[in-house]
Amino acid sequence: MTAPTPETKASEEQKRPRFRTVLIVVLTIATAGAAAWMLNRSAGRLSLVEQPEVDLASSSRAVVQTIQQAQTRVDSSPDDAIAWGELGMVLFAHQFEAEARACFEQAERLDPQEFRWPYLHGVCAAATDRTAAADLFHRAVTLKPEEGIAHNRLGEVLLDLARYEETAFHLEAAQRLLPRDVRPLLALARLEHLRGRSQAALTWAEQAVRAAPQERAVYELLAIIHATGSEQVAARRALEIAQTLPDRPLRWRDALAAEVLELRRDTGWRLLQAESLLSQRRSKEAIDLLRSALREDDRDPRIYCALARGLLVENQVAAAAETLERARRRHPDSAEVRFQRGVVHFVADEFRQAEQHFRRATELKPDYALAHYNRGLVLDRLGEKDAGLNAFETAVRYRPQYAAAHFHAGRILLEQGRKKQAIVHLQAVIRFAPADREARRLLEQVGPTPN
Amino acid sequence: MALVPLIAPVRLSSFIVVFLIVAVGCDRKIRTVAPKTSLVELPTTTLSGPPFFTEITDSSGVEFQHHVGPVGRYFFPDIMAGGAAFFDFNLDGKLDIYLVNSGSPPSQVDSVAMARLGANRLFQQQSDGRFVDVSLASGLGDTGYGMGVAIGDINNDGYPDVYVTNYGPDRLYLNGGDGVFTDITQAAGIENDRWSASAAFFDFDRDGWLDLFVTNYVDYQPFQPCRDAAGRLDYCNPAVFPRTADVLYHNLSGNDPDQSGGSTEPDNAPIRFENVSLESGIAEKPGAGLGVFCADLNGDDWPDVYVSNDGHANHLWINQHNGEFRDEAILFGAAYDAVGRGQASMGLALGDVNDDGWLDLLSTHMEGESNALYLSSGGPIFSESSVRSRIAEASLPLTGFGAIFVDFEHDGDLDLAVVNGRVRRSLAGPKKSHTGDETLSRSYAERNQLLMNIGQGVFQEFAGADAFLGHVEVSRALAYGDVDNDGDVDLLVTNFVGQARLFRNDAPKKGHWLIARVVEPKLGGRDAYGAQLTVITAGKRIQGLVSPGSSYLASHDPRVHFGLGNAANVEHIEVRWPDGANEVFPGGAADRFLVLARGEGTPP
Repeated sequence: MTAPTPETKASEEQKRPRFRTVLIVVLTIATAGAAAWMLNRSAGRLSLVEQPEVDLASSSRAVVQTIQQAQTRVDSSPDDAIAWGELGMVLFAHQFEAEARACFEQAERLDPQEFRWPYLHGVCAAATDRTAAADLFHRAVTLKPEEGIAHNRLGEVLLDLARYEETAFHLEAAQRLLPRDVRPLLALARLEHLRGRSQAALTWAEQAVRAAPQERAVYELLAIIHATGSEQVAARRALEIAQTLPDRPLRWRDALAAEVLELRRDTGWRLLQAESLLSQRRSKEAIDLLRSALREDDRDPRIYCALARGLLVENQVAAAAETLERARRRHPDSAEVRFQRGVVHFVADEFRQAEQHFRRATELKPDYALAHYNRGLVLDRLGEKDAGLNAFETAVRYRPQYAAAHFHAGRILLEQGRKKQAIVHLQAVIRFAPADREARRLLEQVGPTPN
Repeated sequence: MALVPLIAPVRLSSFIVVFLIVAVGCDRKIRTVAPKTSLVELPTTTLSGPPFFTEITDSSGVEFQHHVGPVGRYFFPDIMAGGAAFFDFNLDGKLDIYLVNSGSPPSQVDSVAMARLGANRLFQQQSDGRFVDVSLASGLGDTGYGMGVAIGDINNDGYPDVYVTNYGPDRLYLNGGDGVFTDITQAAGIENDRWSASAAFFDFDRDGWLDLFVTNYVDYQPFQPCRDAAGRLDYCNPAVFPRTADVLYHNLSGNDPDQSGGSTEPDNAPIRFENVSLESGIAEKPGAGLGVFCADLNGDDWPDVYVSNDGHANHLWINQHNGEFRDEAILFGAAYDAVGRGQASMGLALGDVNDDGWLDLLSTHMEGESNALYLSSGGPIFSESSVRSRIAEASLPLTGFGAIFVDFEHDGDLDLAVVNGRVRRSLAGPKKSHTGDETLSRSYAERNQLLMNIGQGVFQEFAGADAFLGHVEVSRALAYGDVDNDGDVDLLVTNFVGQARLFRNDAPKKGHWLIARVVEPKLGGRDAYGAQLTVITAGKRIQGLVSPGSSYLASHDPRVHFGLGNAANVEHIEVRWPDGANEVFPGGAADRFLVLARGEGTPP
């Protein structure tokens, strides 16, 4: 061991402060870095320490349960972007839009590379804030440029904002990515139409027609483009085709939005699902769904009515009647419940009781054309022709385009020898239901027929 | 033809339509940077300055409170009512006011007191400008569940008659000329007990007798609770109910079998209307009709009908000259918004906002759907121009109902006033305690808007302090008229479970004005509904139309108001009468009232 010389001591003493300085600097940088990292990491949480307050006072048990489950996941994993995003989806599904937007924002903050959160946030924002939606969709397409649906959404929002060049860019991208989807084609046609480029608009619209010949919207747009270009004949032809097609919103594919819909647990949604099942003749599944919905929430008389219809399809007439009796006690003012009770009695050949319920339905809702019509049928069966005729005529007063009611009114008038009045009704049948052979036959019987 | 086993299937709500179905997959990489552009460069989007309007409700004596039945039941018609009219029922030259009230749902009227509360009111203007309630004596205190009002002289005696639309049976009142109105609904053949909204009188067959168009809304199931996906009770989305057809009534009063060719003179023969909805084609297309106006929109000198439908394509019924109408809204570019979507259309305004000599149309919409401006461009084809006109941005967050185009400050172009109020509960408003009218209405309240035309149909919103803008309520009807006969246009606004409000125009004026009453001496001196006016000043032609029925559930002052800008003189005035005949009237100094009587001008 060598004792330090005074020179060495002096040298070491000179080095110590330098070392300390370096150490302090390093520690300071490390501390600042750590603090910055911590701050950055918790920035999302700091700006949204609490979950958004959600007022569930009016919600059904199933909705409350679903939302609370998602909230619990966020509580237990507050740094988990997926938990926040999924809470946003559940809230969005149940129309808590503002609360959902806060959750999507937090999810995006926690995981800025995930495409879903700005995308769904954009869908949520699009109805009321186009500019914000455009920014969000733009972030989404930046993260996932191969997602055609996001380009399409962005293009449509930009179209609303009249930012046409950007619109064209994103719609063309969407069209390349979704070559068989009609929606980008339609949007491109609209864009060119708005820009006054009629030939380009026409080209896109014709492509849209080829892609979706059963969609009314494409023919209507074609008609608009032709009309603007003073091609009146072509415009009318397109419009005529449009009018033969179902009047429904354009359907398109969006897997993420479908995921959100799947999260709905409210009664209205269950009713829609049950109606869909009933229309597909899957009445047993519909009955199960409706019974489960009723156990949770019996505030909507339409649930009872749909259940009764399902039961009727399954030939469970007594169960249908019992369901409607419960409905009547729960919803005494509901004309629809009375109407359905009438239907159940009619099916059971209990015409007098059926008539009473249809009549009650029309008392509760005087302009209830279907109830007047059904009452007419019942009265006709009971041999009360004048009253039946009156009911059919009331039905067409409230719904002038009601071909079936015109038919029965015409038929009874013919039976009574009142040909002139009968012809008016039978001609109305032909007008609103041109394929009705029976009406044509009756008209031929009495003489002049239209066309 | 079988029993109908169910009501119309449950429809997808607009909420669900926002996003739809199934899976998509793609793997092609593309560029994401797009060029950025803006459409038009415009100055800042809001204006400020001295106020335009002063509220004179209290000082005028117009005391009217809109009543609905028990609050918190969310009876759908509640949130859509009620109407207002300016008209001079006693021909004393001063505008009177009619206000439509609602009350309890028809099956729930269980007390005389409630029926009285919900009665309509007629206010007669006195010589000092104050109004006195003459409802009882006049017979116009209709106690039906009121929606809107249309005004027109149906028997050509010069006195304006009144049609009231209701949720339930509508009513037609004949003005006896002595301050008393008689309910002639049944005797006149009027039978519309659906849920009707706006209505308008016009002479569709040009026989000199005013016919009637009534919009019908939806086939509502009363007391069906409507909830959103969160389970919150709210007013229903109309999309869940079937649409209903509108009604066209033909006035048969001139079809006297003893006189060949019919008569246009008033006599003591009973007034008769015939429902011609089926024959005319109107019944073929049900819609959820809320707003209507009647005017010649294709330049063929026959009146057409434009109807705003809630959630569906609007209808433009083009008159075929033979009693039939054909909906050509799509071909005329006036059915949808700029990108082809049907919107929740409510109120309607019309006027030539871009000075091209053709009428332009505005339809008001729900929040999230901007109000649509259908701008003509030198012809009868419209292009939806709400973005370019700057109306879209201003209207997107609001739910518009009544709307009018009027030149408020006389600078020579038409400005826009819109009244707003939600139909779905605001989630930012009071959340739980819907125990009183005020709490309930606050959840739906929105501000109203004034948008000033800065030239060529481009608008800037006025953001200064103003009484008209100062009330945040659930406003519905907006009617206009020069109530104090000072040459400018005043406003009347109705509010859901709130006061009706009267606003006097005190705007600093930038120019001159002219107000013309256009009458048909051979038709009892009644206002010439459908007459088109062109005022010619140095270098400018300004259009006007006698068409009091527009906006929402409203009827306006039938006199035509013109803002003339710097023109202190008018060269002449051209009148195209409802039957297509033309006449020219001499001009003269501005800033005065004129009566243009048919036959007193000269041929062009």
